Amino acid sequence: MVQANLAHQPKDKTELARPQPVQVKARTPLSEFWRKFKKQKMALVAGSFVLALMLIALVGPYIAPYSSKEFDYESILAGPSLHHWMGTDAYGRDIFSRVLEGTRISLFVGLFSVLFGALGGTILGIIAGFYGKWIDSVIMRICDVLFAFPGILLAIGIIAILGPGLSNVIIAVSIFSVPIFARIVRSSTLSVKATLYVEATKSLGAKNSRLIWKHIFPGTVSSIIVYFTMRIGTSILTAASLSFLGLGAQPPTPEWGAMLSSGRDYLNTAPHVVFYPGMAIFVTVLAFNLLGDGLRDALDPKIKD
Amino acid sequence: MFQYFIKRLAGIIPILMIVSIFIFLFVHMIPGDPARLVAGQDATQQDVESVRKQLELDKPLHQQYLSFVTNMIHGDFGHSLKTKRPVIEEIQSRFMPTFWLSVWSMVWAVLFGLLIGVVSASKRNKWQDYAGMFGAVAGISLPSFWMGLMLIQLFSVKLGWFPTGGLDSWKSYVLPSLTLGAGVAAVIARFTRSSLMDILKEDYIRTGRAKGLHERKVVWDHGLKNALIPVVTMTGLQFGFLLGGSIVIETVFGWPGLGRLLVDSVSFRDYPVIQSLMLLFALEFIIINLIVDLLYGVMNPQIRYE
Amino acid sequence: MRDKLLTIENLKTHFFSDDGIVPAVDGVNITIKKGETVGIVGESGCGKSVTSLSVMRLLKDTPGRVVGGSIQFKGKDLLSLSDREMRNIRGNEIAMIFQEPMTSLNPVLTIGRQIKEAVGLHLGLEGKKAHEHVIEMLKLVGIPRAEEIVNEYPHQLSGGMRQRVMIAMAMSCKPKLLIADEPTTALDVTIQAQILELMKKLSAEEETAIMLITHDLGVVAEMCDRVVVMYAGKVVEEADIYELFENPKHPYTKGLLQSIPKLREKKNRLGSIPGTVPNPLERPPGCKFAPRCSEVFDLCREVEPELLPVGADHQCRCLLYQRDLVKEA
Repeated sequence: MVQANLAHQPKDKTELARPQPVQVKARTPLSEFWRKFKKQKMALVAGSFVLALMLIALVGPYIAPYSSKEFDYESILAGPSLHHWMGTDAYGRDIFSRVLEGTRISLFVGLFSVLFGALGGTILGIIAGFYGKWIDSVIMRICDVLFAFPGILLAIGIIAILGPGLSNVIIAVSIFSVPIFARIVRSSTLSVKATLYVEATKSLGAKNSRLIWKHIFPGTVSSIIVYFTMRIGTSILTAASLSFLGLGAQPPTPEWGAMLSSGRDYLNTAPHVVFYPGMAIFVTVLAFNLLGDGLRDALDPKIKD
Repeated sequence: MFQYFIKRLAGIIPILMIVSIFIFLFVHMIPGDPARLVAGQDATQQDVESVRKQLELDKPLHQQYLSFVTNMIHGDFGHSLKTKRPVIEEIQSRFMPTFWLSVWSMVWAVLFGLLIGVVSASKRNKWQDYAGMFGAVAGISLPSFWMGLMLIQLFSVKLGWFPTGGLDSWKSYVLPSLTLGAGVAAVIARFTRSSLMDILKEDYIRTGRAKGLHERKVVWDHGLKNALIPVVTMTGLQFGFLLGGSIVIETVFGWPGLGRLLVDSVSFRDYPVIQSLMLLFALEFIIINLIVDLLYGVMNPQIRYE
Repeated sequence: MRDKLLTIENLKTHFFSDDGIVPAVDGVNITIKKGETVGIVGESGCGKSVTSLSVMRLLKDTPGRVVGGSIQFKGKDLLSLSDREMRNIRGNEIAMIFQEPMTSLNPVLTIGRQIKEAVGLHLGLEGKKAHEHVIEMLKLVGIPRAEEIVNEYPHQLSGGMRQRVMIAMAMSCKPKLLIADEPTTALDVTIQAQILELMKKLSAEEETAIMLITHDLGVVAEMCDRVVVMYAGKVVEEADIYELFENPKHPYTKGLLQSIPKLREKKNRLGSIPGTVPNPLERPPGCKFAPRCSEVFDLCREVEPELLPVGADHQCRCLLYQRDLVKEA
């Protein structure tokens, strides 16, 4: 037990004469967020890593030591070395360079599929929550059904209709992100709607669009940010899985899942061909998930897994 | 309790209807002539027309839907384009491997997930908690196909303990089920922790401690029993994740199950099989959810006694 | 004079929060004798509940920690016992009942199971014997259909019945000390009287001492032999029940007594003292009650008074009665 000498027992009269000023620090939501967020070392590290990834996505192809299309038949399936940090694949292409270039694809797919999903979900959620009645039941029932399909199954179904390819993967992953955002936004819309000030604004004759934009939307922002970050990880993972199954990006695109898929055949002899692209997926998804966890704890501790 | 049961049962009817409509419309959503799709690209115009008649594609949509549902209820799922055999036969032989794979994965997932979750919650902010939760986040972020390939490389290729794929003996189950269970275990661990931590703040936990109960008993008995109610619900939802995950895992391990059948059928554009599998997966998921809802009723005395 | 059962000496329990350290209990001395009922009175936030949790060593799930002082129970220092030794005392020699009967029982376990746990743990009773003991206890606290209630779940009982179950559980191992933290606050007025009557009867029969924590002086008047008044983490007055009600010394106590309505109708919580308990992070120097005191003078804002005798078996922490001492200093 720590013996803390903190009980303020003033004995000296001069000390007593000066009552301490009462300090109440005013905290803006942003500084409050930063105060909580910076305490989470893991999330800070993950956040920095995500920033680094974004940088790589921008400049990756320029800093890569080799071109992703550069064949080198002299060194096929060579293990990691000074020349090829992650070794080479079955065509002698430098895996490190291909992983760098793949960063752009994975982040692009992750970001945009969640962006579209969040956009659609937010609109549907606000409509359902704000207007209620039969629109609400129809939207939420459809969301229930979309939920009834395991994410990747839904994506496979959509790809079965649209055909394989990276852009169709983005569409598929977007669609299965919709119900999640619709649900969150609907429930926060309902709770914001129930508060008095929206009632008051309504009674003052404010237009619905203004009401939604000015009052309801800001109330949902923090949950959207948290889920947005978390979904990016899931979406990258799903997109990579689809490419691995041969339904997404097609070789020779340096997409991580596709690289893994074509490297499978050499697992016995050259496991590094599979190892590094997989590691890239893992670390990237992990960073987004850790960042999402940190944002959740800092922005809205009420949100559960 | 009986009322609760009936209510849940009735609740799945609208979902079943919407699901079946979606899956019915599936073939119609594909660009092109559905009759030609079903008949195959190399079919003659005559074949296409006979397929159109046979599938009643020339009738109004609502009549088509009605006969679609009737056929499904009678177990008539059409014929595979690839093998020309009835779809039901294709599915039958592949159902059990997938079923057992899911069950074993769930067993691992629940076992490890609960253990990690409870330890993390009761050792809050100690190293056990940090280790457990980092492991869980890692588990969620792990690409299952990569993990599977790495396990094959280590345990099958290098050590030779387990087969590299296929289904021959109980040994074949070990690696796929561990791989498939890892992600779900992570989700269960995280959920158990947060749910149990909420419960451990409750007044009755303090009552238990005030009684002089050992902390272990307080956590595992009084705490977990209450925390389990939401955990069971969430675990049921994870079955969906498992079904989805099995598609990838079966491809990695060359598993003779439904997931691999689906991937093969998508590549081959075998629409009758895809349609039937989608329906089957959705149905499975709905049934599991129903079971979970009923379990929830059995576990929660407040519902059991109403 | 009866033997001392519990002696709390200079207890300090602090809470460690993001915003700073809160001295929730700041040097408290309380003595409870065998079979005696002592009331601990004060507004919420004065540290009375934290004191009781410190005695039970149930601060584990709070940010609080005992940082000084000692708690002697039957000659043993509770603060230096091992966890195992402490568990043998909890629920056995010291039992506790809480404010919220609605949430203090585990919703997924039967009433019988929850009482049996304590009985099995401390009295070693198992099976049929334990079952009979539980039924006997339930009958003792006046629960009808005890044989059936044993197998029922908490949500099937009313608040008053649940508090009876809590009392049955607490008394099931014949404790020497019962700590009751606002046991009747959450109950209807008519039920309150019944529960208090029950506690009084049981403590007399079993010679159990009671540490009754409440904000309600009406409850104290009905139950207690002695009263300890707390304010801002400290004891400000302590006296025999008759002495306190007839001859209150501390302005805070006087304020509390004035706030008791003449008829026993539903009342505001100690409504008539102006102001509120100071924020524990920003407690004033000098007397902590000074900002709200009607008899305050300059020195009060500078010098923290000591708890000193003001009569036979009567102590008070107020400079009004310590002017001579202060001048000497």
